[in-house]
Amino acid sequence: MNLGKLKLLSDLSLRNLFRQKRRSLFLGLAIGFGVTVLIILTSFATGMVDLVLNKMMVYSQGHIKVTLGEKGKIQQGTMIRDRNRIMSIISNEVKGIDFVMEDLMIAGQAVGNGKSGMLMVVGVEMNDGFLSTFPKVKTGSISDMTNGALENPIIIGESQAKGLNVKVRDKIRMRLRTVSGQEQTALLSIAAIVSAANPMMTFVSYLDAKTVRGLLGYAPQESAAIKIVLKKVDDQKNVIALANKLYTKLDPGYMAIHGRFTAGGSQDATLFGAATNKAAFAVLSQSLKPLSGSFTFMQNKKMKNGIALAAPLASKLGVGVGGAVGVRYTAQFSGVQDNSYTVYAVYDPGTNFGAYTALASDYVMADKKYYEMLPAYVASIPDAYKPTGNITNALSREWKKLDRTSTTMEMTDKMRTLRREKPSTAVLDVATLYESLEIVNQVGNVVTAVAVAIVIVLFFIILIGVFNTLRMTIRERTREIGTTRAIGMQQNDVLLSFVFETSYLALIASIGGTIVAFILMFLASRFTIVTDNIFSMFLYERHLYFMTTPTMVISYIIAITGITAFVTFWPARRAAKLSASDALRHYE
Amino acid sequence: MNLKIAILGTVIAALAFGAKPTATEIMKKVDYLSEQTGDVSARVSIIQQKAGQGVKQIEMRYFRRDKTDSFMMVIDKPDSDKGNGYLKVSDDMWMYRKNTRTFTHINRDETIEGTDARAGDFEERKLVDQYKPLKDAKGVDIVEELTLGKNKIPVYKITLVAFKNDVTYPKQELWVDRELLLPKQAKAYSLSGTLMNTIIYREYTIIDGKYVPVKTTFIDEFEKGNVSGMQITDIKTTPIEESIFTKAYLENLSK
Repeated sequence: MNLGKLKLLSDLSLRNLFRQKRRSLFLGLAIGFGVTVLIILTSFATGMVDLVLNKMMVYSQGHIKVTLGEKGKIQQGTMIRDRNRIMSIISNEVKGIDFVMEDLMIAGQAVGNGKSGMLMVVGVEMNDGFLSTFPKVKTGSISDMTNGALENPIIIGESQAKGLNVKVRDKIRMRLRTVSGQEQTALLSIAAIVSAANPMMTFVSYLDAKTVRGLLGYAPQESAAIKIVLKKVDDQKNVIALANKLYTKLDPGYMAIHGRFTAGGSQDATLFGAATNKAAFAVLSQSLKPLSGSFTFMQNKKMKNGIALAAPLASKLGVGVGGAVGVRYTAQFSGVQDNSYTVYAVYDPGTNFGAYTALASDYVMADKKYYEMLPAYVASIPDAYKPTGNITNALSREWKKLDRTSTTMEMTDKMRTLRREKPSTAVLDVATLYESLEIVNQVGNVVTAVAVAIVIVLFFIILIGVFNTLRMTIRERTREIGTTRAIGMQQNDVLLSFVFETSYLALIASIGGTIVAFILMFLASRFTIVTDNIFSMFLYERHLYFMTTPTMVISYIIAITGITAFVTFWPARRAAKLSASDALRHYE
Repeated sequence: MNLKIAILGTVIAALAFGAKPTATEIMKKVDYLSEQTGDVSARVSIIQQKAGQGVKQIEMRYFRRDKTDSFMMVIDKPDSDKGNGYLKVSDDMWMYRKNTRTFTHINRDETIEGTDARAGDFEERKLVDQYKPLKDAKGVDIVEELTLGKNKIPVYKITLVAFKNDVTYPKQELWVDRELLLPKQAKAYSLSGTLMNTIIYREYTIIDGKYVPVKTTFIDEFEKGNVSGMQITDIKTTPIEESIFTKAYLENLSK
């Protein structure tokens, strides 16, 4: 079939479509209405997910969150002892970062003017970028956050200010707990009162990150969990791929201390943490042979200072089982540290381990404030022993990497297991927004599915109308079909002319429906809606929020036009199969 | 135990000869006098008065076994919270909610039924394991001899500074009576030095040779007007069944 013929059939179909204006108009309105409903509902559902994930939660959760916690505490009291080390891995491995922030949040009792209540305060970097995008200021000035005019300036939400009965420049007293659980208090000055852009921000106040870090008790080199926000905000696959890549790069080193060992004599040596799980203990027992004492003390959780020494080291120090050993080392951030231990075993290092090595269980290492007084990393100390071979499976690492998870359920199970296992070493978790807030995606999918189900029902009714109308049209035009067939029109040409006709109708109606949907969404989003109920979750800056993508619109138009053409096929084929003589003889 | 007896003996001897005990000796004595080595069960009643919110009364049953670092609390009043409870076994602490029949793993900072009391307050933690006494320029413990209250009770006042960073109050002042070395009053300070609360120990009872504060008043100094009174009654030191320190026991209570 050549193009000229197709154009002729197309022109014929368009002419036929406009010949029966009223019928085409009503049918087009029905299809257009369906498209309008479909686009509005799915745009609302997509907007809701986008609003929650990309406009609210991404700032409180980050696209990717790296958490390190000690004593198995990963949800509260998280602590990264060497911020620069983790940050350097993040900046090397994660591309497309918009910004990185710490998960600095305080929740505590606040006392205003004769009233008190809970206050949730987020620590943010008070740079120009943050301040320029800040929600609408009701009273006060954002610039007071940085100009030094106020002591501990805070930006507070309108409803919180009302609850505490405070105004700009008033003081708030707040009590909170530091990251280690100590009572802490702060006197905060109100720099500005703001109206929230979305419901999540209604409950949040803002303090300079440095102030929050100080109040929570983080040292300058330490950090809370690190949140990474990417430039491309809604690319779930990319976020998960980056998180997986980062996870593989966050490998721990050995939990080890290289320092000066002293008893009768003294010697530089490396003390390694020995993992206390069954598998690691079995490896230890196979790899090293105790010459005196035994390794069983390693599995005693209450052991505070037990140590095993390699025989050459014990000999050099002039100490045996029951003797005392001091270890002096320079901590990375807190100067010279002295630890004391009691020897419980002396082992033959053989060829599996170093002559000047020692072992202590990870319980003992943690109890001796390994993390608080973080030693230099043995990998970067030339004189420190570098273990190889099977013995490495018996040694503790700086942190245990929790498995990556892909759903909220898996994440919950992971945390439950962690609580049960209670590791004595630190644990590291890499999570994305999409697994920790899978529920939001699920709600969005449910809303979209409901919308699609409604529209399917609607279209089923509409398509019955299309089908019926076409049958009527064919019936009315039977003699016309006979005439065109008699003068040489082929069966396929008849079929195509009807398919084209209804496809044109569906296409024009879909485009019209789309335009109407956009107009209605624009108008609906202009209205300011003041409410504090659950509906406020779906509002952005007190307006309805819709999100439509070109892919979404184009796919709907193609799908609806295609379905209509598909439905048309059978009555059109029936019309095409009519013989010219039968069609010409047809009378109503 | 021998060490404790020796310490007690030293303190008693020091008192007998009229010598002022050191702050460390006072701390050890306070720990010794309040330590329960066996099982303890009691009824606890807390009356909390919050500024502008009226009075709230909470009653609960309390079971403690220091040997296994366990305790269990179950709420009896108010009726809306009846059956809720808290269970601690070793390092794990759970909150039970009878309405949902669920256990939630909690930490020591969790507040008890909306009061100022926290789950960690019901743990046994010795002063000497958390604090060191404040010393003067010569390195000697500071022990002041004062009188307390209208009755002018002769007391020693010591100031304690936490040497661990997981201690709720980094600084405490303690007033102990000179006769028995029992705490009569304590003031707790935040990390930034703000006075957070005052605890007044009004009445003690002797159980198996140990002193238990049965009437205590907690004054919230941070938010003025908040006062809580705690009364402990029906104290028993008879052995507690093992099954009480289990989740199943709490669940069965609310069936």
